[in-house]
Parts: sequence; C-alpha cells; structure tokens
Amino acid sequence: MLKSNPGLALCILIAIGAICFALFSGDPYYVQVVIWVFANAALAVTLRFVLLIGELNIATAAFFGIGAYTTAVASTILGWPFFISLLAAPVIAGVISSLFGWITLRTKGPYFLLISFAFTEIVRLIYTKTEALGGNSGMIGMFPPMELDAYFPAIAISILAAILFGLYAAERSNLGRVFKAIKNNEDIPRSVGLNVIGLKILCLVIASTAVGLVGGVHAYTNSVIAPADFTYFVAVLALAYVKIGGEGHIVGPIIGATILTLAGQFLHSFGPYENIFYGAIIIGALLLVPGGIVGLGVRFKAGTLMGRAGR
Amino acid sequence: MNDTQTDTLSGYNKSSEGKILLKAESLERKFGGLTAVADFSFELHEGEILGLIGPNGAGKSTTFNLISGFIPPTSGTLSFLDQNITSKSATYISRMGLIRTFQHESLLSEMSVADNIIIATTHRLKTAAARQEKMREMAKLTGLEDYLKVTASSLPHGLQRMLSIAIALAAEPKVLCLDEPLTGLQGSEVKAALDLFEMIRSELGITILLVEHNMRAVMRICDRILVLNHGRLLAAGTPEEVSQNDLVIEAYLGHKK
Amino acid sequence: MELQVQLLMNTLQIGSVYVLFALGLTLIFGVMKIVNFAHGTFFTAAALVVTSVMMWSVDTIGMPIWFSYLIAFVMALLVVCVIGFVVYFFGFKYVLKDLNGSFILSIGLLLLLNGTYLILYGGVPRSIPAVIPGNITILGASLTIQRLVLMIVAAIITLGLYILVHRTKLGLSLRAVAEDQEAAMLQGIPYRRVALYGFLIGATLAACAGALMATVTPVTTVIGDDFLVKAFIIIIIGGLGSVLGAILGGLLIALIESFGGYYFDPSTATLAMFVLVVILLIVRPQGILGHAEK
Repeated sequence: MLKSNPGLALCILIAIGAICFALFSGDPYYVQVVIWVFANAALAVTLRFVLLIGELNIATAAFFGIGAYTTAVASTILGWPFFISLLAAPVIAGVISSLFGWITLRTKGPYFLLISFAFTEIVRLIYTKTEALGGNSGMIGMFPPMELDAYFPAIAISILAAILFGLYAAERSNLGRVFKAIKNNEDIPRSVGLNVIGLKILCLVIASTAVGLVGGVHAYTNSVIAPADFTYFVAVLALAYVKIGGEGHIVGPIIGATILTLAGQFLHSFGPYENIFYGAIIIGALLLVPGGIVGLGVRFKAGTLMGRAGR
Repeated sequence: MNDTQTDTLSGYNKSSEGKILLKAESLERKFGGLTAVADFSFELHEGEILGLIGPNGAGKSTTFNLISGFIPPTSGTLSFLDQNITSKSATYISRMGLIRTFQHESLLSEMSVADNIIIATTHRLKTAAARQEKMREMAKLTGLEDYLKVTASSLPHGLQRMLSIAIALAAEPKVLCLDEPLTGLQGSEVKAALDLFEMIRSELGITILLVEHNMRAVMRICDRILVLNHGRLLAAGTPEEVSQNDLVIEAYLGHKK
Repeated sequence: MELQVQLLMNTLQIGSVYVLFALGLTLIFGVMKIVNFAHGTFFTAAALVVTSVMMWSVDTIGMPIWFSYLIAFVMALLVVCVIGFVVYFFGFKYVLKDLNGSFILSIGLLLLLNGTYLILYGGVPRSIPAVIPGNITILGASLTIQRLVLMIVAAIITLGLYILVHRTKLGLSLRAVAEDQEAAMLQGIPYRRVALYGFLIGATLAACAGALMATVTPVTTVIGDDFLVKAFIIIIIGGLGSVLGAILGGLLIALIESFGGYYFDPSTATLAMFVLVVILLIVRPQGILGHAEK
C-alpha cells in the first residue's frame, strides 16, 4: 500500500521524524511549537471531516473545549490516572456530539451553521458560570505523571498524528465515499437504502470524538485551560487553515495549519495587527486562491501535463 | 362502457395474474391549500410494467415521492409486500426493495460513475470486492463499462440517464420506479432504453412503475396504464383501453397531440 | 405590577434593538442566501461614528447635543453605507448564495474591521451625553425619555421596513428574489442590483441599531459582536429570511432576557433561549415562520 502511495509514506516519515524530534531535542520551545502544529492540523482536519457531508461545524470548537474540560475534571477533580483522563475526553465529546447531532442535523446549511455557532458560545457560557469548573479563570494543574513527563511531548504528537491518519483512513474508506455522496446529493443515498441522517450523525460523532481527544491532549500540554480558549474563534482559525491549505485533500488543512501556526509565532507581538493579518489572509485566500495551496498544486500539475501533451 | 369505467376507475385490474406488491388506498397529499394528489388508489402486480401518465402538474412526481417515502401522505394508506409502509422513511422503504429514480438531479454529479454505482451497493453488500463486482455488472448492463472513472456530470445526457438506472439497479430493487427516464433521449437511445426495461423485467424479474411523457413509448411497453389529472385518477387499463377512453383523450391526448 | 411594567419596558427597549439588528441579518440572508457574521461590524461602526462625531461637535464646537446627535446619526448611516458598498463590491459579490464562502469572507471582514476599529479608536469605552434628558413614569415604572424615544424610533424604522418590503416595488423584487432567485430573474428582476440593495438596507438597519444603542450604553469596538449570538438565535427561531419572524423572535428573546435575567440570572436566561431553540428544532426545524427547505 505504501509503495502505491508515496505521499502517505512521506507523511508517516514526517510524523516519525516529529516524534523523534520530541524525544531527543533539547529545546522545549521548539517541541511545543511542533505540538501546536500537530494540534492545529488535527483541529483543521476534524473541521474538514464534517465538511465532507457539506456542513460547516463551528461546534468543532465546542467539542475541543468539552474534551479539554473533561480531561481537566478527570485528572484534577476526580484524580483519575493519566491515560484514563485522556481517554475520557473523546468518550464524553462523542456522547454529547451524538445528542447534539441527533437534534441539529435535521437541519442543514445556514441553520446548522448558526446552531453550531450558538451551541459553542453557550457551552462556553456554561464554563464561565460553573464554579466547579473554575468559572472565568478556568482550570489548572493537568500534569502528566512524573515518570511520563519526559515522554509526554512524544506521546502527544503520536496521538495527534494517529488522529490525522485515522481520519485519513476513514475518508478513504467506503464510509468517506458515502459522506461525499451525502454532500453531493443526499436524495441519492437515501433512495438506495442509506440512513442519511444516521450517517450524518456518525460523521459528526467521529469528528467530535477526534477533536475531543485533541482537547484532552491540549489540557495536558497547556496544564491551564480557560473558557476564553474555546470560543467560536477556534473553529474560525481551523477554517482558515482549511481554506489556505485547500479543502480538496486532507493534506490541505495540514499544510495550512503548519504555515499559519509558524507564521502566528511571529505575529503574537503585533496586537490588533494579528487579527488584521488573519482577516486579510482569509479574504485573500478565498477570493484569489479558491482551491488553497492544494488546489494550486493540482492546477500546476494539470498545467504541466497539458503543456507536455501540447508539445 | 359504463361498467368498465367504474371498474377501471378504482385502479384495480382483475385480470392481472401476479400477486400485489404495492398497494395504495385513497392516497392524498396537500401542500398548504393545494391538493397535489387526492383519493388515488392503485395496485402494482408482480412482473408487470405499470405506466403512470398525466399532464404536467397532474401529481405524478408527488405520487413518486409518496410511495418512496420522500414525503408523507396527508391521508390514505400504502402497503408494500403486505406490510403497511404509510409514513415509513425513505430509507426504510428503499431497504425493503422499492427503489426510485429522480427526474432532476438524479446523479451524484461530482463523483465518478463507479462511485455513483458503488454507493447504491453499500447497504446490501458489505465487502469492497462484492461491491466492485456488482458495480461492474451494473455498468456493463447499462453500457457504462468504459466510463467508470468519468465524473458523472461530464457524461453525455443519454448515459447520465443510464447511470441513474444503474444506480437504482445496484440497490437490488424488487420494484423499480422510474421517473421520466426517457426525457431528452434520442430515437435510438429510447429504443435501447425500452429494450433495457424489458430485459430488467423479464431477466432480472423486477416489477416496474414508469412515469413518462413519451406516450408512444408508454403505449408500447406498459401492460397497464394509470392516468392522473389534477391529482385524481382519471382512468386505468390496458394501453388500448386508455387510449380509447374519452376522458383521457379530452384531458390529455387532446391537448397533447 | 410596577416591576412587571418595568421589565416589560426593558423588554421593549432591548427588543427594539434586537429586532433592527436581526432584521438586517435576515434580509441579507433572504436576498443573498448568506449568513453575514460581519453584521456586528456595521453596528459597531455606526456606534463609533456617533461617539466620535459627538465628541468633536459637542466638546470642540459646542453644538447643541440634539442637533449634534442628528448629524452624527446621518453620518453614521453614510459611513456604514460606504463600508457596506465596499465590502459588497470587493467581497460579497463573489460569494452570493455560497454559504461556506460567505461565512469565511464575513469572518475575514470581522477580523479585519474589528482590528482596524481597535487601532483607530482604542480599547477604552466611551459614552455620549444624554441627548434628551429627563424621566417619565408609565404605570408606575420609571423610564428615561431617551429610552422611550429609542423604542419609538426603532418601531418606526421597523414599520418603515415592513412597508418597504410589503408595499413597494423594491420590496416586491426583494421578496421575489428571496423566494426564488431564478424565477425572479426570468421575470426581468436584476438579481445583482436587488442583492446590493438588500445588503445595503440590511447594513443600514444595523447602523440604525448601533447609532440608537450608542445613546444608552458605553461604546466599545466589539459592541456589535455581543448582539451576534442573540441575533442568530432570533433568526433561527423566527426562520431565516422571515421579516415577521425576526420581529417576533427579537421581542421573544428580549422578553426571556429581561424577565429571566431578573427572576433568575442572565446566564440562565441565555440557556433558556438555547433550550427554546432545541425544542423548536425538534418540533419545527425550519423556524416558527420559516418555510420548509427542499
């Protein structure tokens, strides 16, 4: 399989390289940046996963937060062990998302977009008003156990990379094909015996479970979480990664997340100009490069092929 | 004359041999104040090709949407294979083996021909190999085997029609409901399509309900014909009976020809 | 009794601003089939222009406050129309009826404009002096005259919009385009021009809301964003594209906020709104007055 798919082989090599870097590099800052890149890539890829059925799911941000808070509660309040706390995140995010999907996926398009937006803001409101969750100041003290501390960055990157490859596999499977069919024209799958609503919910639950795990990793990586980390803006940035990198292929959001996360490291000091930069880049990418970087690559490839054929 | 009229108006055909697969009783559907279908009863018998005709806006498409579960009836009952399917979901009904095609947007336009057909096999077949095999079989049957990698929207129109039939067949129907499958086809394509329908009935043993505007084709291929007008059953019977029915000639053929 | 009247007055006052804001959103959705996440920036721009202009004209020149406010109001509308015109021609024109594209564009604009406002205006909230001083007592409930006038003006604007949409030729075009764009085009309605008008009217409504709101609350560069979530809930409840739905939804949400906020607390009221949305989705996914989408 790897022989027939050199791109996948390359990605696996990069992931292994990143894990080795985390294990053997001496500089914690650069390791942290690598984790951010992987986490942002995972956020973007989960957002894109729901785009497969044609829905823009702002609640990606909400389930990211639900995962983070679940891990935080499990590890600091309940005192559960590291891996159990981490695994609780995708479970809870998955359960809540199935309920959320069951209610909201009767609608689609603008309604789903707006409801997922409202849901995200309201979940955040609940954190700020719940004393047990630390209110506005959030929760602190999620640390991996001492004996794992040195390996934690490598573990985090492994988990995040596994999410990326897992979602890639899901998209390449027949299930991914069915999701794309639903986006294209949902009457057709419905007319041949597929439970379209159920499949939409499944798509949302897969994505939310994945992003819940990203949230769990985030809680341990940061050790501090607050409601302000989980505004709809998380989904907006994820969408920016998807748009810059290109929606057509799963590597699009990964490339977009990498570029913007690295660029973001230089932009933090610019205050309001940071937002202006993101705004300009989102608008520019949408209007000037609709297919993103992946789209450009495809066009370039097609162009050269045509050039050859012309000669 | 009077006698046959009442008999045929009920939509039941006593002379049919096959057992009843699909049965509609007093089907009615309203949209707001508008009645699209009213008091419509009919039976579909195993092994027949039943035509459903009528002028534009007569309620044919609504009828299709009702029997395939895409919209629920306002009143009346539907049964399929002796089971009450009134208000069952489209998914449920299609899983039972009643598969319909669409007049418009009848394809997954952005996906390849192969993917279009494979989607339809997904529910019945669980392995990739079985789906591939079924897909190739259906593509061959409908003359699409050389176009498997082509994006559906870039197929010529006639082949797009064939693809929508291939999709429906891949879902292994007992009853196939075709919504204007001949629209826009050339003369030779129409003949090929009709031969395909005959073959689907005789060799695959699939019963067909056909909505079609092409009167000559309907008269040629259907065993029985139902005529809808203003949402109500105007006449029912063999092609000869229907084509000689004064009401039909007045309401439909008279305007049409 | 006094208390209830007070809360009801409160409802009408918040509600009138919500209605104007949501009307603009729902109108833009109806005509262009897009959700404008940058709608709050029109509101904010108007409020910022009003405070800036009044600071200059009242403090520096010493113009009478009411006159200064009128000038500021008109200038706010003009500025927002210009902004609306620019973002339409360099952006929204290219994403008509493209839900995801327009979402991305409007988010980009939101970042860009909010960042720009912050640079131009700074982070400090500013208030304007009372335009019409004094209080009035209605059925035992006390109310500043300013708030009463705000409600009346908002009601007049809403009525004006209702008449515009339902009684004029432009309104007919707007409704025809919202109902079925292709059919409207076949009947000779110039879609792009109508879309531009709809967009500008929507922006102007947000500007009216912002300019009115500046009289009763301190203005910051993100003031419009606070209205966005509630406006979304309003148009989900009322049905996207429905004028009457936006009016009823706006008043309902204000009612919940005002009474729920008093008898329980503000966040419970917000949660109650969400519960309402959930129940509505289960019972009627297309909104109270929305049409079922095919």
